[in-house]
Amino acid sequence: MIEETIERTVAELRNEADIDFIDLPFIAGSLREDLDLKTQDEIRRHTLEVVRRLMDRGVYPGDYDHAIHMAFWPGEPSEHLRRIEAEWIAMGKPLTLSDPICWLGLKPACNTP
Amino acid sequence: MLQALYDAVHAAALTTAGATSLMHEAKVDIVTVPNLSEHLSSADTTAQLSARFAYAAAMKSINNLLLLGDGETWSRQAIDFGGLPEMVRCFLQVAAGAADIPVTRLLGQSPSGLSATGESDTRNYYDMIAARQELDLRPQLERLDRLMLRSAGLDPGALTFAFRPLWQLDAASAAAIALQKAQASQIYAGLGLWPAAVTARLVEAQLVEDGTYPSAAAVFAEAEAAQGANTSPTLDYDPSEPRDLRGRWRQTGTGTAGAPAPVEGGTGHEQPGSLARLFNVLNPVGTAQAQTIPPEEPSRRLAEPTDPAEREPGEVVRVRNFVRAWQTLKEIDPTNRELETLEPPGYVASEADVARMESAAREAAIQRVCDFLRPDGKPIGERGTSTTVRVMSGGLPAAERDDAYLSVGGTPMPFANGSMVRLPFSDARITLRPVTSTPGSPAIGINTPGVVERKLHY
Repeated sequence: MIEETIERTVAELRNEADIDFIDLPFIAGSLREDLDLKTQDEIRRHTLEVVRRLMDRGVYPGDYDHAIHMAFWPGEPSEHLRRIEAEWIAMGKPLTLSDPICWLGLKPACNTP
Repeated sequence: MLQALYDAVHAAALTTAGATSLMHEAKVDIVTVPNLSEHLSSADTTAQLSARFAYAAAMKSINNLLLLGDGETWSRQAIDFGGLPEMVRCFLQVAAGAADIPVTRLLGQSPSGLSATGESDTRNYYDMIAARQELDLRPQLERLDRLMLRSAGLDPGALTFAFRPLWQLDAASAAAIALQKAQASQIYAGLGLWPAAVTARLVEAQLVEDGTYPSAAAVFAEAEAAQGANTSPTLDYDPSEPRDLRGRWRQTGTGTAGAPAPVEGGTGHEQPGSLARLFNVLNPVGTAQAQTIPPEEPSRRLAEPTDPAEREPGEVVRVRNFVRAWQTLKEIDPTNRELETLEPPGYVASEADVARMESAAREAAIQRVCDFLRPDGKPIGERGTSTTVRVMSGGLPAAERDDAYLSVGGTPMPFANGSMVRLPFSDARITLRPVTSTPGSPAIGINTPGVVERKLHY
């Protein structure tokens, strides 16, 4: 059930990436609703799994100017995941759009079918 | 009325019985025998035929082997039960409707429909039962009670009764209601409408009546008995003393006008014993309001400042925060019940007042967002790439209009190339990005941690 929901979420977010950039709080909040997650640890763990699968499909994290420009983070996917997790834990509270850690967008060079 | 109910129940019973009888016809074996009429033309050949099929049935039953002769064929016909469960369920639903009992209760089945809990059905059912209790049962029971009381030599008007509530609150709801009642009592006590002893008795009665503290009556009696041994009566006021606009005494009581002076060890300003002592017994740490006021610290009723210039710094902050929350709530929800309070001039809001007003403003803002997202109970707009992404019409003007609606009462926050508002007294954010990666498609982000997460494309 959880696996199906996560895979469906990843597929939907991949489609959304064709239209718009995606903020990390949106992913976390959507997973919290869909999986009825209670704790921040659960939310963070499942969100990181979704981000990992999104990167497999060409959607990468970066810094977004809230318009059309995205500065993708340099480095490997595993580094991105470690960075997100570290910043999230350091923040110590639910993600908000004031401090989303990152946005995600379709990286043209890594666009995979 | 009973005839209509009987017809519905009878039809449901017939349907169920008919469905049950079909079980026997679920499958029928068909055997074709050449020249069957010749076999049945005499008693001997008929007996032989019967014996032959008895043997065939025995072989099929024991060895799972079917013996067939020349020209004989065997086949099996099964009945299709598709649609039968729906028909039976339909008749049961009609019976439930005729009996005025929710299907979820009568059949013990889960409520149908997205996010349905069956609560409204159960509440309607309980309301119906409660009405029948009052209209049908009460007159008869009261008549019986009058007879019994007269027989027992008691005053028939001295006793009354109430039906036990059908709907049982869960612990969280009961605790929330208890908190609201406590806050209401605190407000009444703060208004000084009546002596503290009266408030104490009213709260005592409420605690006992609600079952909040089941042994409250005994604790009160014990505390009062202990108090009576070494303290004077409770109040040290003179009813003829002058009062301010809030009904509070302007000067301290002195033990005149019939009120006994405090004995040695008493404070001279003690609050009525029962409430304070009850709270001290039940919650010796956290109930500052009910603790005894030391004599060297004059209570507010002695010199209540009504002039803002006389307020202490903490009171100034509280008043400012209270007014800000009140104005915010009024902006978001002008008809909110929290706004329906009348405070006299010079009233200083307590911390609880501020917290209550901020909580009301926060909930009103979140509720406004949730109501916006589900007009008429259905998700707004069209489904986007997921259920949490909605597609709206109207482009940028509509996005700006909706953003302004959702952001009422909020605080603007820094947000490059767009706008972001923090909803009052919460971590919730509303963002508007006029430009996104899709040309001409602005987006609103709704980020209310722990409540709802949505994105609106225009």
